[in-house]
Amino acid sequence: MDCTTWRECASDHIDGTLPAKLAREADAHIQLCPECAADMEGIRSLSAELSSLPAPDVPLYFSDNILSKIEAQQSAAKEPWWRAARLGITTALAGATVASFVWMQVNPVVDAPNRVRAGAGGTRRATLPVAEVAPKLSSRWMLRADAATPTYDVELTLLSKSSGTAKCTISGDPHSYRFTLAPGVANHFRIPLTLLANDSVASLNTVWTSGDTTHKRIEHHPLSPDTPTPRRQSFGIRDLPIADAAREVSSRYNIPITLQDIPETTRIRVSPIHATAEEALSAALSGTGCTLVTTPDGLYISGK
Amino acid sequence: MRSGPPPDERSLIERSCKGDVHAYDVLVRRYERIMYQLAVRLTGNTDDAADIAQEAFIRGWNHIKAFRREAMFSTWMHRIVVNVFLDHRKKNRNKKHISLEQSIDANQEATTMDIPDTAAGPEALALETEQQVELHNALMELPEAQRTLMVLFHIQEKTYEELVEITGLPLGTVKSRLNRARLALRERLSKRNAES
Repeated sequence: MDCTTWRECASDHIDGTLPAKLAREADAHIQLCPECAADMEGIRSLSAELSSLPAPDVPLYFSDNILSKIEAQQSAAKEPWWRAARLGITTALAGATVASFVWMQVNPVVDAPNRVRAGAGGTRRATLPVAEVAPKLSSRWMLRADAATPTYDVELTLLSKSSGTAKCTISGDPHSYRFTLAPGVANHFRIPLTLLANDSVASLNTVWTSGDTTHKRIEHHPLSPDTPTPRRQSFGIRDLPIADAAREVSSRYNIPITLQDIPETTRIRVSPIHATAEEALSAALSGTGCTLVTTPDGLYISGK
Repeated sequence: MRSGPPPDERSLIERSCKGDVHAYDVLVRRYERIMYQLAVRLTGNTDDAADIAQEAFIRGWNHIKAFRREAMFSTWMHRIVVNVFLDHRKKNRNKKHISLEQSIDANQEATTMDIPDTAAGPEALALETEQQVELHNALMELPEAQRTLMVLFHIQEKTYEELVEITGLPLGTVKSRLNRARLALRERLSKRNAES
């Protein structure tokens, strides 16, 4: 056997699958040819060397992401034609919003002090959470995407008998806004969408005092509530403060979430598998002492 | 002789065929490590590997009804990962061009341009020794078809019969290609050793 022939049957020789006669000839060649003998030894050690290559860890939430994509795919496949048409209309509306935004940048007409106006009426009634966790401050949110100045209009009404004060901050706005709350009088808070251009969720933080109690409330509202999202999803959110995790859930499920008096230092991990927003948050909040309530207008988390 | 998937896996496959995402999730979690590592060794890059392995599992879900029950699910998934890898290579083959012209300024005496190194570093692949880095680089220099067989046979420890099933090639072709791949890798390593 010469070198070329040995190379043609090297694998079979090494694996011991050559017919006996050829195997004897290959053995004899190896005894005589140091180069082929070195190759044979080198190939033999390859297997061990290759299997010794370290195996990198699977990325975090690898399988969750797969499941999430499959569910999104299923959800898109199930979507009826009228839903798709509605999505088209929403997209057109969003286009109009962007156009208004650009127009507003060039021709600003709303001053910051106008954002808080007392007494103006709202149009959509938000249902309050169940009685045992009902806050004394009710809120209604209304998206005015098609207005000349696209805004989120928020109406805050103090339901207690005594008056109070409130300080509000909006995500994306460095200023804070203070006003007095008269019992039973609606206070309008207008959030220009220009402030939220890079966000998928509007977040309003309110610290309010009535009588001798102070409460802290965080409200997350999706900016495109009509965009369909899968009701059940799988994903993973690493340990985050409850408010931040709730914001992420609000964005993913397109569902409003209100948090009141939640512990600021408590962190939760939300990693649902094919779960609804309620199921995802319920599992994540277990053991934190917080109460989760589902309302017709979204989810409500109370820390007390 | 193949007996198909074990009973619990058969049930998971049956349920997946009926649209049970939870059942498929169990299969994904069972094989994610093997498939991801196969993709890492094929691409030499953890980012591409994650994309390829994920796409393979999604393709698996979309075609689960076409899975032959007498085969092993893992072998079937190996085949999908290899196919997705080859599809990606085909798609990207003509994409990775960096124009050198765009940064040349005629008024400048000297022109420099940073060309990004897109290959994953040894840290990303957890390569610890010089020898492992050399082996990894030599493996990445092999043509895709040879690299695929080397990874499947030596790293994933597949048999010749499984290689036939995964690649769809006749046994003779698998054997001769693997033989050439082994010799080619051995030569590259010898050359590298001689150079260093």
